Amino acid sequence: MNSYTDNLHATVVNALEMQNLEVKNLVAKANASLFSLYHDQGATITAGQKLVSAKAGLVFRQAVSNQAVTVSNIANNQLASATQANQYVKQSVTNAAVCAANVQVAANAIVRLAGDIGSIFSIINAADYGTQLYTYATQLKQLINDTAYAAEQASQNAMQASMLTSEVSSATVWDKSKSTNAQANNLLKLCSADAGAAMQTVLNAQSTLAAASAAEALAGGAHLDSTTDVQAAQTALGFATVNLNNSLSVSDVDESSFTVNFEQIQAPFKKPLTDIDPVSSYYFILVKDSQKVTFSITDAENLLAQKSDHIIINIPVGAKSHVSQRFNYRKMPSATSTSKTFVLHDADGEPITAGTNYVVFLMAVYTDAYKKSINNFDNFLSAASNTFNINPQFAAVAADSINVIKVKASAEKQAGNVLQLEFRAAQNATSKPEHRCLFLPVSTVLMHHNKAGFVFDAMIAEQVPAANYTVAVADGKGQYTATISESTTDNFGNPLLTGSEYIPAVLTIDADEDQNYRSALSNINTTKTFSI
Amino acid sequence: MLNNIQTKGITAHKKTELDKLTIDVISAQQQVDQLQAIVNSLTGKADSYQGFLAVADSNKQQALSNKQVLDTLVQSALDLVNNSAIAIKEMGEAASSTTNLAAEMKLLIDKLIYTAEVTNKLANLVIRQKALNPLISDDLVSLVGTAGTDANNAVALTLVALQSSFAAAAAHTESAAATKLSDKHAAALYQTLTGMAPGKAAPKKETASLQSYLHTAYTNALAAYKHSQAALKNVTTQLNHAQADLNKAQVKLKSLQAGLAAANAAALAQ
Repeated sequence: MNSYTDNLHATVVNALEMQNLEVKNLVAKANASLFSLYHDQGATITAGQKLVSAKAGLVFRQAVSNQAVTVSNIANNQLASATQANQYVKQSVTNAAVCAANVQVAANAIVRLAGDIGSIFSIINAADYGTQLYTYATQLKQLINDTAYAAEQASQNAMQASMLTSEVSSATVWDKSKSTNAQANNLLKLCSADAGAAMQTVLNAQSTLAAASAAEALAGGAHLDSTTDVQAAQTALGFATVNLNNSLSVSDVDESSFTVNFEQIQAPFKKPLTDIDPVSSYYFILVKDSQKVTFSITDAENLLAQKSDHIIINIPVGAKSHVSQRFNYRKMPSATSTSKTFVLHDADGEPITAGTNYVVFLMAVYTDAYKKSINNFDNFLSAASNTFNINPQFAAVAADSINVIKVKASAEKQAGNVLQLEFRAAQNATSKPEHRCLFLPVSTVLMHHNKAGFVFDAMIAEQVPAANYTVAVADGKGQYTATISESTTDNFGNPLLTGSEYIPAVLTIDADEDQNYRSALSNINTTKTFSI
Repeated sequence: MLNNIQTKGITAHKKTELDKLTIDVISAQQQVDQLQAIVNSLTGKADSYQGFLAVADSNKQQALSNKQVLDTLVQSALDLVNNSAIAIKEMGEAASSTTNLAAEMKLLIDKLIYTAEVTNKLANLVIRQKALNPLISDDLVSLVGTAGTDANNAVALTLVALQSSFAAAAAHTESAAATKLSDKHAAALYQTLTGMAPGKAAPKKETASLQSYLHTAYTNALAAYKHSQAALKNVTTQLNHAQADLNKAQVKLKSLQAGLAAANAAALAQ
């Protein structure tokens, strides 16, 4: 073994590993900051919703309270007028009684006068019949009779008037007015207290929203910082990979193929100082990510020596310095037979499989001439490439197939319509996808770049707890439904609000325990919103 | 054949069995963890919905109590309107009878004064005749004197009665006006409370009134309470299902763990 090459290799591995770790840590931090931003945005949206409903409550209670003030004012006026009416009627009762008594006294006096005149007439009738005196007396007697009769009648009417006046039930009205007034003012007190409490609720909701949005702004800043850090670290790792690891990378991984990219090894000196092509052939080896620290040139040499050609895969030396070759890892061409293919195996001799993270190593077999020129007969092994896996991804549910419709409520429920989410999803024979239906509130407070107004992607959707989503039911023909019930909440766990807009979203996630499938979220930006 | 048996011996079978059991235990543990997470999440949800229900219940009670206070007030206002109507009618009768009396008293005093004048005239004639003819009865002379005094007295008293009858009529007019004003306010109170005039059918388009507000508030609070109740019932059902699934998974895990422990003990026994 040559210590120069070993030392260089160790240095390269170390440098790349450190950068890799840095990227990993920063990605973890960025993810954490994304979650924390998501939760802070959730808190802000919740606070915003509470403020809106508190404000609506206040508007209503203030209207009630204003109305109660009007009622109380009228009741106060009514009591004043009823009190006055009662006093006036009392005065009328007194006046009528006095009047009746006076009329009675007057009538008595008139009757006495009638008696006098009766006696006068009797004497004149007896002694002076037919005289002028008699004529006068007769006339006077008729006059006094008429007057006395009128007096008696007036006396009776006065008594009647006094009685009628006493019967006026203004005292009853006054009593009723007093109790009505007390009730009206009690109701005013209740309504004012309600309005006061509603005002306090609004103030509290306002300060909660202010605090939540301050926290949200901080979290947004922190998230921006950490994504910037990740980008910087990735740039650094890219630079290190280009310069120290021949730009080795695995890209464009799909369900059957991936591409191995690298720069061919150049001789350290150009012609005419040396005129030797350094590499006779390249190989790549698939290694489990967990084994990459221990995988060494010796392991690679052994695989080469054993002709394990389903593990160590040849890539011919090319004319261009950049090599980019695509491999169908399920149908690798056999070296011995053109008709046969095989599945790519990793360095442990196990076929490539979903659910495992891999790296590739690049091995270069130096030409004999090159080996001789430096008197070192070891071959070259790169450091590990980027980590990748062949986990398949579910297809996201098409946004235009997602609809919220009204359906007739089932018999055991109350009459009326219920809302139901409907969508179509491709059937998959090999996997057991679960379709989680989420309802994202369209935020009026936040201004994130998507339609919902807050950060939301498949990674966040996976973390939404079971209480905040509904698993859709399949009809077996590709149609799925989820009922929106009284207990359905938005993704943050808040009950759905009447009149607010929501975006229905479907997360297709692996219900198997292996979790090999990557989840997919329907496109929330192109899904029709709905409101209850 | 012999080769096969030698390469996959009993020890290898045992190892395979143990590995399979271990994988089963891990997968059962994962299942339990997942279900536990779901149960925890639903428990939290049930707790918050219990809270929502408590708030909805208290809102409903409050709205009901407000509505009851209002309904009593509306009834009271209606009684007031009815009582006022009775008082107005009574006051009207009393006032008109007093007014009639005052007019009657004026006629009476006119008659009385005329009668008194004629009485005085007769008295003067009797006294003049007595001077010419001493045979005129002394009693007559004495009587016309008394009649004159009584006539003066009657006129004076009737004037007092006349005055008090007009005073009563004035008071009654004021009372009637005050009673009418009180009645007008009572009707306004009822109209403002309910949005409709007393004794009239409710208008087609309900106007905003305290009654409509507080009745709506109660209807809404009741609906919200029922909604909360249904929601809590849903969540509780979901939680019970999840809890049952978790229990099943826990039982399965325990039995797998016991199986693995026994297998390990047997395999490693010396």
